[in-house]
Amino acid sequence: MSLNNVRLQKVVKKQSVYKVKANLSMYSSLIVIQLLALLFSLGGTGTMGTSSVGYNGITIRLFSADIVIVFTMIWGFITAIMLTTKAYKEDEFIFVTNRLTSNLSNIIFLFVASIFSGITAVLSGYLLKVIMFSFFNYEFLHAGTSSEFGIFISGLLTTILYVFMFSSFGYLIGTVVQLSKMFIIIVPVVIIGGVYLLSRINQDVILDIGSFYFLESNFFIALTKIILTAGICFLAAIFISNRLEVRK
Amino acid sequence: MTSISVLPIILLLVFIGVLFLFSKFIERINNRGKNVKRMLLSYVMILVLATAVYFLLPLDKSIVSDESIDPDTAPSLFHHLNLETLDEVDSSLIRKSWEFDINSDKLQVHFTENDWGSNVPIYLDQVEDLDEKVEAIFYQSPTFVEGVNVADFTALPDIDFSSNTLRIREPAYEDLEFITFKTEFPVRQFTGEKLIEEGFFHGDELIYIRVPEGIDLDIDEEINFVD
Repeated sequence: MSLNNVRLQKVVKKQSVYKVKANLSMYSSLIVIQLLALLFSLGGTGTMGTSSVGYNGITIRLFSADIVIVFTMIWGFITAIMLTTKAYKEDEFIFVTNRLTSNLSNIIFLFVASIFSGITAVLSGYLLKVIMFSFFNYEFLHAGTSSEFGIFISGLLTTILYVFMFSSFGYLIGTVVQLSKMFIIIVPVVIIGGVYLLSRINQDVILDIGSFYFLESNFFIALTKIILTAGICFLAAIFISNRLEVRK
Repeated sequence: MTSISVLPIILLLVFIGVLFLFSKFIERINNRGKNVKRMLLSYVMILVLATAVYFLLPLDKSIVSDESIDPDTAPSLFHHLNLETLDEVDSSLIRKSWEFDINSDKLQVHFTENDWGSNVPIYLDQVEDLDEKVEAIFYQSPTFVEGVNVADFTALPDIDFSSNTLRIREPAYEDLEFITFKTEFPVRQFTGEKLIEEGFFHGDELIYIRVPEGIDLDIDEEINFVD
C-alpha cells in the first residue's frame, strides 16, 4: 500500500465522519417526510372491493409502508442533489481535499444515510400497523402476516439499496447541474423527452424499467442490478466532477 | 403514447421540487445539532418501541381462515339447483334454515327487498316429502378474500311466518370494511405476494323455499319456481 493510498483513506475517512456529523440536519427532513408518508399511509395503500357478497358490499383496505419507502427514496434523491450544491461544497474547504476525496466521502455519507433511512422506513411499517391496531376498530384479515426473518432481512437490505440507488441518480443529476446552470432546465427536459420518445416506441417502457428492478424475484440478481446501477451513476458523477475541476 | 403518460412524470418532478424546497426549509429551521440529535433519538425510540409492541400485539384477534373448502372445487349452488341436488350439498353451505308449521292449504309468500336492490335470488319448490311444513334455507358458498371466507360476516335475511304468510325481508345494505396488512414492496418482490391479488373466489347464494305439493300459492313476482 502506497503512502498516497493511506493518505487518501485517511482523508476520506475524516471527511466522511465530518459529513455524517455536520449533515445531521438532513435527517430532520427525513423524519418529517417519513411522518408525512405515514400520515398518507393511514388512508391505506390500496383498496379492493367486491360488488356484493350476499346483502353486503365488501371493501378490503390494504396497509403497508410502501409510501414511506417511496418517499424515503425521493428523500435520498434530493439529499444527494443537495450535497452537490455550492453551499455544501464550501463546507469542505476546512479539509485538505480534492474532487476524488470529496466524491468518495459524499458517497459514504449517502450510504450511511441510506442505511439509516432504509431501516427507519421499514420499521415505520410496524408503527403504522400498531396505530391501525390501537386506534381503529376494524376487522383484520391476516393481520398477523409476517414474513420469515431471512426474507425480512432481504427486504431491509433491498430497501437500503433502493434508497442508495436513488441517491446515486440525484448525485449524478446534481453533479451534471454543477457543470452549467443550463442543465437545471436541460435535465428535466431530457428526462421527460426521453421517456416520451421511448414511450412512442414502447408504451410500457416505464413499467419495463420499474419491473427490471422492482419485480426481480431473485435477491442476488436484484442486488447486482441495484449496486451496478448505483455504481455506474456514481462513477459517471466522479468522472463529470473531474471535468468540472479542469473547467473551474 | 399520449400526453397522459408523461403527466405522472411531470407531477413527480413537481412533487420532488416541492419536497426539495420543503426539506431545505425544515433543515433551516432545525439546524441546531442538539435539537436534531434529540429528534433523531426520539424517532428511533418510537420506531423500536412500535416494533416491539407489534410483536406483542394479540394477533389472534385478527381473522385467520381455517376454511378447508378448496375454492377451485367449491360447488356452484346454481349447478346443484338445476340438477335438483341442493339437498346433497355440504351442510356448511347452509348459513341458516327456518321451518314453520302450516295448517292451511293456502300460502302467501311476500318479499321485501332492501333499498339497494336484491341480489340474492329466491327459489320456491313444491315437494312431496313435506307435510304441513314450510322450509326456507339460505345457502351461501364461500367468498375468499386473502384466504378468508368473508361471506361468514355478511348479513342474513329476515324470514318469518304468520297468518299463512311467509315473509322474506332483506337486511339493509351495508358495506363491510376489512383491513389487511401487506409486507412492503422490497419484501413482496421476493415472496411473490401481490399488493392487490388478481381476483378472488366469489361464491354465490340463494334462498330455497320448500312447500308441500298441492298447496294454493300466492307469491310475489321476485320469487322463482323450481321447474
